[in-house]
Amino acid sequence: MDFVTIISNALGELIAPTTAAYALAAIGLNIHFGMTGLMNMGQAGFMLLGAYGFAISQSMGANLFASVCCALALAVIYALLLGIPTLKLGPDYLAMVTLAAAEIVRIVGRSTAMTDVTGGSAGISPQDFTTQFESASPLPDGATTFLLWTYSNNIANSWWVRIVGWVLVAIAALLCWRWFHSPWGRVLKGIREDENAVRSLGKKVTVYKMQSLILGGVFGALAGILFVLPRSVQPDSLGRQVTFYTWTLLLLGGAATVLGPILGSCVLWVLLTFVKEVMRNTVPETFISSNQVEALGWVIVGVALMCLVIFRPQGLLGDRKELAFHA
Amino acid sequence: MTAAASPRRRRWGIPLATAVIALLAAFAINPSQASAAEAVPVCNPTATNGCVNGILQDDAQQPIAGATITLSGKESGTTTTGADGTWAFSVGADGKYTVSLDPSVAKQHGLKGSSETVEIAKASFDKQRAVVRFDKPGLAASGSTGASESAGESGGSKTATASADSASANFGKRVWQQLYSGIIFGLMLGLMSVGMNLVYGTTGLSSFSHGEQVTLGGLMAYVGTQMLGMPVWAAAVFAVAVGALTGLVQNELVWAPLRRKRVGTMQQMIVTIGLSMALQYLFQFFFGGDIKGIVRSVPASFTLGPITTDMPTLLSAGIAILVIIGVTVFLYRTRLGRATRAVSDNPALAAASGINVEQVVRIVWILSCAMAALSGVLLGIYLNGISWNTGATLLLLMFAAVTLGGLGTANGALVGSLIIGIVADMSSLVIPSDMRYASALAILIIVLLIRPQGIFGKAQRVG
Repeated sequence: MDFVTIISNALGELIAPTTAAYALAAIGLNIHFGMTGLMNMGQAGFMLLGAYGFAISQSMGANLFASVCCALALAVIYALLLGIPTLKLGPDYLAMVTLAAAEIVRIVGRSTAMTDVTGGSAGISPQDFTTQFESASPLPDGATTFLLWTYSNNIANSWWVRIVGWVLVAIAALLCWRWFHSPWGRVLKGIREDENAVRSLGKKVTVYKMQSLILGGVFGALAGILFVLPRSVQPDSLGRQVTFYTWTLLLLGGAATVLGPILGSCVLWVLLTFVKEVMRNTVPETFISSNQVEALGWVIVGVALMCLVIFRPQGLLGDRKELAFHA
Repeated sequence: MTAAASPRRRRWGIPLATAVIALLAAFAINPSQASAAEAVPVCNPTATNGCVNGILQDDAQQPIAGATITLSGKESGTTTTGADGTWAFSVGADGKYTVSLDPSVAKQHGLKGSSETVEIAKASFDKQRAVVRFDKPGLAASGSTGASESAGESGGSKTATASADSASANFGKRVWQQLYSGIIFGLMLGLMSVGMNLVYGTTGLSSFSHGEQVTLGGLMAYVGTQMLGMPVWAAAVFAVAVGALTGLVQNELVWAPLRRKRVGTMQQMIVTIGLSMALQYLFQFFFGGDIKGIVRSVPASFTLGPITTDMPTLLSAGIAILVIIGVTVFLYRTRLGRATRAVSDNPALAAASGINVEQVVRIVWILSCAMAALSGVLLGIYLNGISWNTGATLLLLMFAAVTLGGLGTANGALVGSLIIGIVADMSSLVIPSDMRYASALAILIIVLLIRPQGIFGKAQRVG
């Protein structure tokens, strides 16, 4: 019933590591879809591979830098595997294949046959892969309160994860801003608008598309690492729902804009948490259980996605003329 | 595809294909001597699997969430308990299994034991499910007595009559059994994907919400039999009618206006994703997260040559075949069917020659959703229940089937479905059964590599 708690919980999402992870994933997706027009329906696959690459190499004792490289290498290989057969085909095919491949990663990851490597459906618990990251923190131990929020400095869902997460998001946004305005970015936009025109100018369209797929996938893998740091690596928590969330918040913020993914992520999570918290606190448990509140949150996201695409496909920040939808 | 691009395609394509095949072969060669049990949210015993499950509670009857349960014996696996303490394994082989819990967790919660050995025999009614309780060791209840929480079965008095030797299946028999269940599964998948492909053919839309139409059918049949007390056939008719109605309504309310607004198909595809999310969680909202059984009895199974089956399964397969034949006759022999094919082929030309394209698309939506609902009913009967996300898990297999057969070709979808169904079920002979869908999806990718237009698709520029 406490309205202040509801507000501070909802606003807590504004800086939460998960919000940063989704923003980063959406920045990657923005390179795919916003810049190049690729319908990647499997961003969660990149995230899950990144998370596995990081967590498994950490649990085997690699240092932080090597683990991150391992995650990124996995994403690059995965992008190559996906891109080679599909980038020349129509957008439907890429959508289906990316979705299917993300699902394959998840199914294989959660399979009991892989328990020794990935921990099966139970996943990898945080003490196996977060210790090095936590000990790399320059912050003193203990907890800090900043404005409304109190979190531990270094452990689990900490300020340290938040700082690293948002710094990564800021760097990614800066890079995107540079890329969007570079000659390379203009070629990508050209591909998005009219592939054949760009091809007729002598550009190797498939190579550019592949570069875009790899680059966006690398951001996806980083987002995956960020996503699992405050919790554990659970294959089912990085299923296709995550991809759909990422799409929703990208379209909400505005595809083909630099700040769109970040704004979308913040707005979506704050609003969603707010709505859920209000429902949890005002509607009696006998009428709607907390599981049902969770389901309702999803329904809201689904309906929001439909309405966005139909009524405002450019999102909050986008330019209607620069729509990335082409049939 | 330009001439300049095609040599590169060849150069990249062949090594990649070999890599993927090598990967699959690695799975195949890897001998799975202790094959894996599948950790599932809720397990219902069928002719091909038994169940080991339970609810982990402390001595005060409070559920223990997030504890790791390990299964060993004929098959092995691990799972974690859900928020309400439930856990379940679906196992394929008969024999003794040992379920164990971390002793420190057991001690912490005041449990008297931390491991229990049970016996599973799929063919025996009272041994196809074993319920393990750690709070009362030695009371490992066998049979359906402790399993009242599962919807798929209850005190049905029929006892399975399958002889014991058919249960201790040797490899040859397992091959036949898996082939058979693959064909049944393929037929049901065919019902779904033929409809999906008709929609794609006439409108160019790959509908991500088609899986939810399947779930809707199954859940409506559950509403019919369990809430309204209808007989099964009436519930099936009811479910199909509701499905057809949703097809009509969504075409009128969503897709027709979007087509009139000339919204691109990619944009429409994202709308179907939103719709799929909204519907899926509406189902969860109203029906909860557990499996809903349409028929509350375990049918008598019998052997037919090398395979073990039961009457409802055969009947479902028969209905599926009849409907698919009916749709084929409709497409090739009736005026409206010819019009439908004409629209698939070239909507502009069809409209110019006097076909009412909107009318055709409306009928295709109704037909497609009705078929999806029917397949949901049949699937619910065949799998002993349907849950809120059954359709969503099958969506990718539908995509795989449709792409394999050739996007937009009606008969291609059926052949594709049969292949996907058989491959998915047969692959569990060599790879762990929880990876079997992955094998079907791998086929999708290989097909796109070698023959992107699918088996029946016209070779044309698809890029």
